[in-house]
Amino acid sequence: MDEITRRAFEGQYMDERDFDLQLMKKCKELVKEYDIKFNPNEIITTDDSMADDVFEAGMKLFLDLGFYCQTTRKCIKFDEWELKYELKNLPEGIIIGEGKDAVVMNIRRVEDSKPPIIHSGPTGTLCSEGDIYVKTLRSYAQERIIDSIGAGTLATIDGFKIRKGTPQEFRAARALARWARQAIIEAGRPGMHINDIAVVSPEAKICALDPYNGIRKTDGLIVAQMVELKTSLSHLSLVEHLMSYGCFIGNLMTPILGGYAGGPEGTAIVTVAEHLAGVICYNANYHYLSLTNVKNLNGTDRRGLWTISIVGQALSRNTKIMSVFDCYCAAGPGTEILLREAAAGGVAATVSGLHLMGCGSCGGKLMDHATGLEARLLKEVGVASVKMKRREVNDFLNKWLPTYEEWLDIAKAPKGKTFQELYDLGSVKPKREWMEIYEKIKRELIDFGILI
Amino acid sequence: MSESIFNELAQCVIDGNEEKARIIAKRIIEMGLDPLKAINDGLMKGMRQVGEDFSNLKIYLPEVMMAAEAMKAALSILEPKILEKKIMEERRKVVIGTVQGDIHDIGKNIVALLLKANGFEVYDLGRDVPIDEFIKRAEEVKADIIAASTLLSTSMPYMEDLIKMLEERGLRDKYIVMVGGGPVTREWAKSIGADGYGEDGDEAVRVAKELLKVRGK
Repeated sequence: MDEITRRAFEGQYMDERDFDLQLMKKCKELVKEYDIKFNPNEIITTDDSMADDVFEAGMKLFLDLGFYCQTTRKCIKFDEWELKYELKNLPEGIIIGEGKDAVVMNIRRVEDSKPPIIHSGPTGTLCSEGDIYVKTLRSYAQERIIDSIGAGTLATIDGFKIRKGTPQEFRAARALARWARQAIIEAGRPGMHINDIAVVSPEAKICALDPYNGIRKTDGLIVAQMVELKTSLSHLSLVEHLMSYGCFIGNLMTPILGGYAGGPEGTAIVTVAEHLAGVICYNANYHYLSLTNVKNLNGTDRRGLWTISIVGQALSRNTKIMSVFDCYCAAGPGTEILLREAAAGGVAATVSGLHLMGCGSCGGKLMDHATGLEARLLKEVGVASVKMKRREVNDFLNKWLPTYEEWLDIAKAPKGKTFQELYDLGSVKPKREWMEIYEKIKRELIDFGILI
Repeated sequence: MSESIFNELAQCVIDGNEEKARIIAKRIIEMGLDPLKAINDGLMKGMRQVGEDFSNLKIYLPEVMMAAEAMKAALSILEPKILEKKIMEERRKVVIGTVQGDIHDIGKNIVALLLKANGFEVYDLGRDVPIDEFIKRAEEVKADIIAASTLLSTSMPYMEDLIKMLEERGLRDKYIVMVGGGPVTREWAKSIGADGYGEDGDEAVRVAKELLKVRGK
């Protein structure tokens, strides 16, 4: 970290706006140079050389521009040999969680027969505090097929609105970790991996580290990047502390499809670069690919799925990076559309060498719009599709996407219902109406050849 | 004749062709055509199309930025002529920023860009902006609109605080307050007493124009 901090202070000065413009220009040039083309009818590219080109272009982008430090306004740059050295020394797999609930998270390759791991939870969703929060997390933890739970964002703590950088945010960090632990204990899985607690300030996150009643060394915390390819000294300081504490580090990136990097092709390139930044600057053990459509905030349309697939293929063909597709959906729980989006995301990610995370819903705008059932389906689809080839997945997606893609406009997407409306709060089991929708989609998937 | 050259100017904006936009603008002046009409029927028309295409994801942010550059190039030629004729309408002013606690700014940047391209004078305060800074700047520049954005739910309360502070200081009626950003919803915007909300940049521009019209500004 000392060398990275040194470069954050002594690197090349650049105004942030110039960095954005440089990134925009370079992405455009690289797309042209490598002739990378999005094909809406081949969502999962079968062109290995294009996947390799995306990797090479992403590496070039990262080495040329570096990782921008917003605090010092300097570019943290690396030589090619330094990056290659770090990539070479990545492990083949890790064990997350502890005791009987520990799972092995391995690198996955394109068309890999090993099933993906699922990191679940109300990702990016505003949640009610207290008992409802514990039950929401329990709805994920009690699904035997789910490997890890993470956090939603609390709106209040003890009835007090949480503002970033306030005492309440620090208190919320401790409560989130405590409640996550309570949820996995209640689900009978006390050693299950907890992958994050969602508070914004890096300083507040540290409050969650507690070997007895919080984040343990077998758990993890996310360190975020800012859009695109940016960090800050606060985030690097969080990395420093997490490394010395010894828990896992998740590199969270939210590349914007349609943003500075342009369309799917440029976004794929910058996403590869953001993984590389996570390896070398964040010492990340796994990476969250949270692709965000500039308008609809999801990643489950043709452009989004093409992008995550080619990034997954690029990384798994060229590195040992473990990337997790954060399946962010436009629709909400209690709707068929959300499950259709999750199914598409699960199949596309699995065949492309990615792991799974999810599901996010409604652009994170609606409170308590997250349940364990959609995560169950996401993982089931992932497990069922491990034997599929890319061509088969394309055939499936070309038939499956028309069943939901007209509903992906964020203003049009069905919002569904809250956890409290969809689950029995006594038994923490999905109510009949939600189960019937799930069963219907499951039957349809079986008819489409996804044998879940 | 004038219609076809204005259309050509609109196309330069759509194509993001800065150089051609400058040439066409010069030709418009040489031909003695009304520069204000060139802005309204050429540049603004092109920019409306760009905003719509971006909203429908037919194009992406780099194309919008190029279109804005083309528009800026043409404006640099047309505007001085309007000023000479003293027929330049006073531009509406917007103070915009990402609220306190939030360092994300791509959404705010898109809205600022589209507002600028649609003829607003935009004062971009950047990100992590304390609420009193919005008010201070709005007072300084005599703004019409205060626009606040955030991607974080933990920064949303600061938007509410902004409106409360305007009320406390007796300034609420002076400004149109608009809010937006990832977790912000139309319903929430209404509940805190904001005047307007934009689901995306295109809607933000539309709403800003409508609100100004309603207020007779």
